[in-house]
Amino acid sequence: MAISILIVSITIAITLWVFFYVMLENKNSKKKHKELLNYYDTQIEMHRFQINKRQNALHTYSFIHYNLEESLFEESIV
Amino acid sequence: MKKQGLIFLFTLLALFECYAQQEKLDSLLTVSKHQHGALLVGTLNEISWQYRNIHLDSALVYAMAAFSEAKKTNQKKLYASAYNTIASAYQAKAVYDSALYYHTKSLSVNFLTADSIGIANSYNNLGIIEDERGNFETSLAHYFKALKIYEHNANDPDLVPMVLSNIGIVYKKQEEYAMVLDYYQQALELYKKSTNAFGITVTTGNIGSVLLRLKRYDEAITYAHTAADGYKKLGYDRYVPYMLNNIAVAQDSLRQHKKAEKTYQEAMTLFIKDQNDYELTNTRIGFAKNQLNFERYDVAIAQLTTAVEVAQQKDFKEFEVNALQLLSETYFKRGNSEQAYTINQAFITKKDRLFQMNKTKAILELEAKYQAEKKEKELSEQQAQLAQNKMEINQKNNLIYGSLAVAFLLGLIGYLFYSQQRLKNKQLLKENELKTVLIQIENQNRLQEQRLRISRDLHDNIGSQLTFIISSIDTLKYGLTVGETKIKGKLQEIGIFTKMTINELRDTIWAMNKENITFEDVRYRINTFMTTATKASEQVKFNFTVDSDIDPSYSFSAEEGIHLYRIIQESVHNALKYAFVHSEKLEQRVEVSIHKTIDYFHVEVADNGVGFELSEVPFGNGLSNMQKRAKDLHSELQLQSNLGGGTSISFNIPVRA
Repeated sequence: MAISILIVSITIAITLWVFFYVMLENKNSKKKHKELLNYYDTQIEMHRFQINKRQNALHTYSFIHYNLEESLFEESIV
Repeated sequence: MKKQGLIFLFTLLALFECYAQQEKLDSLLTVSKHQHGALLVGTLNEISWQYRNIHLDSALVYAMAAFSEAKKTNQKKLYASAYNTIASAYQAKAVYDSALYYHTKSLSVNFLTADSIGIANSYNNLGIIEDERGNFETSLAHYFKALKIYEHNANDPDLVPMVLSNIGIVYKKQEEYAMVLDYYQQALELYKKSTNAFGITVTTGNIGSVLLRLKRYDEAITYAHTAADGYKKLGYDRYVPYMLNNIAVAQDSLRQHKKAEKTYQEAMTLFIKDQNDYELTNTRIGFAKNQLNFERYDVAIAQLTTAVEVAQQKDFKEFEVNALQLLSETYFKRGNSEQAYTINQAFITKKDRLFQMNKTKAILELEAKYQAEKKEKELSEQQAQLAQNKMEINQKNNLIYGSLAVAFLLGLIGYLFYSQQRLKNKQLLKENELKTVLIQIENQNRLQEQRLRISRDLHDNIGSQLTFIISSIDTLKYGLTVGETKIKGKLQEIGIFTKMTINELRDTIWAMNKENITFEDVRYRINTFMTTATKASEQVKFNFTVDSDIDPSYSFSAEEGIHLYRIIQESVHNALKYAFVHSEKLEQRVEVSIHKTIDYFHVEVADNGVGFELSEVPFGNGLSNMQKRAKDLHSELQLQSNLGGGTSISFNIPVRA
């Protein structure tokens, strides 16, 4: 009886330990993942913004006036 | 005489209470009908105790009922008391195995409830049973445990002397009289301390009895006298003659025959009064022996004859044998040898029979003891086997539980790691997806940036050089004299061409950088151009039509867009430049239309101008450029013109899937 109680107690203890350990790991992993995704999103958004900005500038090129110099908008990557 | 000690004490108590017993029982039975819980258990226990002296089976039934009630209350103390009552009922029935079993259970419960007095009571009861079974060593072990607990915990001062007396009884059965005396004296001291008059009296009487055995007659007489006085004071006159008998035996042994004669007579008178034939017979034998000291053979013979008769009637075999032996001796002393011989023969026969009976009884007891021990041994073996089986089952159960626990743990760990891995994979997939997008867009951005830089360099370098050429040509033109018109014209052409080259360079650079251009944007730009043209040539009516089902978001490459626009632009310029020269038409029209079929866009620029013969007019740079642009659009420029019928230029742009 005592051994059975001991086995059950140890099992519960290990189960809880494993469960909380994995939960903690998952939490950390999710946090890191979120941070990384945010970083990627920011970078992508920044590049997209630059591309759009250039494309918008190119859009101002007039086929009549040939104002190429104005529409060639250069912007360095941050 | 021989049934003294503490058992005597209990017997005495039992007898004393006998009269009031039935009345008390009736009262208890009535009360029990209106009780429940702990009170009912107490009453049922008491009823069982009362029945012990009347009807043993009823005692057991009520003890069991007490246990059933105790179970309902779920109070462990009540369990212990009920077990104790059951054990006592079995003890009274001389079913010692069961009595031991229930006393042991009571002991276990008392241990569980940490009831020290209960534990001591259980040990004391176990000691009594083991004593009755002849297991003196075990009995003493139990008594000493009880004694130790009572000495430290008992509030009732009579419990310790009670156990001391019980220990004395065990030693008495072993004929260790010195030890018996020691324990009885300890008990007496304690009874004296607690001023328990009954305990003092009984123990004093018991000490007197032991001193008689130890042949310390004077002391025996003193103690017996004290005990007799005690019984008188307490009103237990019934037990006074026992003491007197002991006194008489001691006086006889001290050769105080006269005193002894008187004491015997007193004792006999009281036994007669109490109708205690057993003790009276025994006293008669003692008295007869006393009379022999006075050579009063007739008196002795008369007493012994009566003793033999009563012993035969009442089946007091031992007394019968003793009386016959003494009677034979008396007849012999009186000179009546024949009678002495006859009685001696009867004595021998009775003695042999008694011996045989005792022997048979001893054998039966031994047999019973052997059987009991055998049974106990079997029982203990069975218990050991059961314990081993239980242990094995427990081990197996533990193994199963352990395996299940390990399996569960492994399953859980596996599942948790699997889910963790799945989460990581999902995260990694998402991260990779975004990373790929980031790399692509980053590359696109870098490429675009690089392309822009090159474009700017190209525009700045080649553009400035071409501008310089134009400027130089203009300077040359101004430097030429009037007669050099032909050269001037040529320079004009070169200048125009260079300017066109600059514009084309700009278009190319733009197209290189601009990724796409929508159909809507192209249409807007053509519209703007048409508006400008309308303003410049007010007499010409411009018409620009587009199929309504063309998707405005349809995307051309920037290069396609430029080619489409420039072909239309050049065609309109040509129409304005050549179609309406010398034209007499009132309505001059230039129509630009874009239609879409499943496979291509059909673009047409038509005018209602003067037209021309295709074979007669040489194509200039403008038309060549248009053809080249059409070819770049994977198309072919169609030119149709009739003199007076106007001109139309058309081409098809394949639709991308």
